[in-house]
Amino acid sequence: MALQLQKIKVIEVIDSYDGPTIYTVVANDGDFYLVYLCDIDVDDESVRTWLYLYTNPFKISCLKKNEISIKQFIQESKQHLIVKTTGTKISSFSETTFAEIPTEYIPSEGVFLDLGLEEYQLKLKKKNLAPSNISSAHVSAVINRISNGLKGVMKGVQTYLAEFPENEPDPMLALTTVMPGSVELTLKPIKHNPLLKKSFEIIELVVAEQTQNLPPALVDTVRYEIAQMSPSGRSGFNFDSIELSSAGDSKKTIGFTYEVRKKMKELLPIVENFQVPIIVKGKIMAFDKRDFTFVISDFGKHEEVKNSDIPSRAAEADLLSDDVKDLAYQCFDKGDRALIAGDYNTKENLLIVRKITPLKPIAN
Amino acid sequence: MLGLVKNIMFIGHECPDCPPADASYMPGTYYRFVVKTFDNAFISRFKLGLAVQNTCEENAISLIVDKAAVAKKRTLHPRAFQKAGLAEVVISDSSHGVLKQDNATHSNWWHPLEFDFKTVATLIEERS
Repeated sequence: MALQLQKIKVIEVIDSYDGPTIYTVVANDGDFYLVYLCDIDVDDESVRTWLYLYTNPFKISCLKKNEISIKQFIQESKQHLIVKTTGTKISSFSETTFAEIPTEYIPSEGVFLDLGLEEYQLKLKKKNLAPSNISSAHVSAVINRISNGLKGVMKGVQTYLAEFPENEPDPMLALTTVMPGSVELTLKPIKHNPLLKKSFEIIELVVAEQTQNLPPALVDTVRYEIAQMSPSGRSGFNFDSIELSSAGDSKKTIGFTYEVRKKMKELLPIVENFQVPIIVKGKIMAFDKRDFTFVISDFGKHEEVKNSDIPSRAAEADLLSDDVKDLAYQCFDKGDRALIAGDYNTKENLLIVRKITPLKPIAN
Repeated sequence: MLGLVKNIMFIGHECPDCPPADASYMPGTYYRFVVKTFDNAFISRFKLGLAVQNTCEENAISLIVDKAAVAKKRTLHPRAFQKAGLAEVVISDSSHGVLKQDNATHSNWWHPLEFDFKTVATLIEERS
């Protein structure tokens, strides 16, 4: 752990004021440090004192999630260096121990980083698949899909809440950290965007079903986009679940995809009791999610079914409870078993529902 | 916004990109620590010799977006900021310059080169 200060590379700036005040660096030998501003000389502001704390990305993640206090983080570091800089040059450094660090350099017990960090963690989960086998193409595909979904939510928030009219409805997320030995990724907005933060709050409310104060059209939009972001076999990255959570506060995990899928499974019995004539049932051969165009195949024939607005039609027909309506938002995949109910000739009251488990016979 | 101010020379004018194109007039009340004296409190980190590269960010003046964030920074860096004074900066006219907020609590400020910061800044807490 012999640190060569001249050969360090800044990895991430966590907080700044007149330049970085808390940031991570990697040394030439791969060792990882948190650098923490301790003091500014009142007679010469270019003279500063820093703590270099030997650490690892997992510990940094815990610090950012407010799972450990700053004092605890410093205490648990395996190496402590006190470094003095004048301007951009290192004037002195010395190795020390936690006990020897002046107490005024360290925040009080119980002080957490708690910066309201605008960054998000993405967790990809797949049983029996080692993280090393998840390719960068998989990761890019997931990030693109999450970004597209967030963009839809941001547009919805801008449209229905009329907030942040000047903010660009684009998350512009950059991948900053890949946790070693896991499939946890950290995404950070390239540019500060309060609209993105608001969009996460709305997603959280929709997932928690706390939608009473939100415009119904916005709730519909968010549900649709969440479904688009869900793991799917058709997409080429068939993870069991993809969770996106706010990295700044571990108590507020959105984890939306898992929760949504779980809810869908709970709702399936409602579909089985659905008292509407079944028009077509079979396998979905092709499905365009944006267009709601389905090609269903069964009994040796192909049927193309188009419904540009399943939820509103279903609501107009008063056929669906809100719970069943939710189901219309889920992702369909080629090869899924499906049933279509309603009057297929007039294309009215049409509903298509996907079954994750094999269909039971339903009497007409 | 930059169209309105393109003929004005800003701090950081040695940097060809200053102020950055996505900085804009953002009216509001901001705060800045006074580490040494009020007269010397509004110097960019590049001028302080704290930066190697002559970039837009290094030529800007750091401002904190609210008092809660000021208190947080003092808690995080007790020795560096606890005893520092505090200046309030009220941006209320486009002639006061442009800002770019880069995270939830921090903005960079570029004001015109000939601008007297005391027009908008007031010392509200002396150094203790």
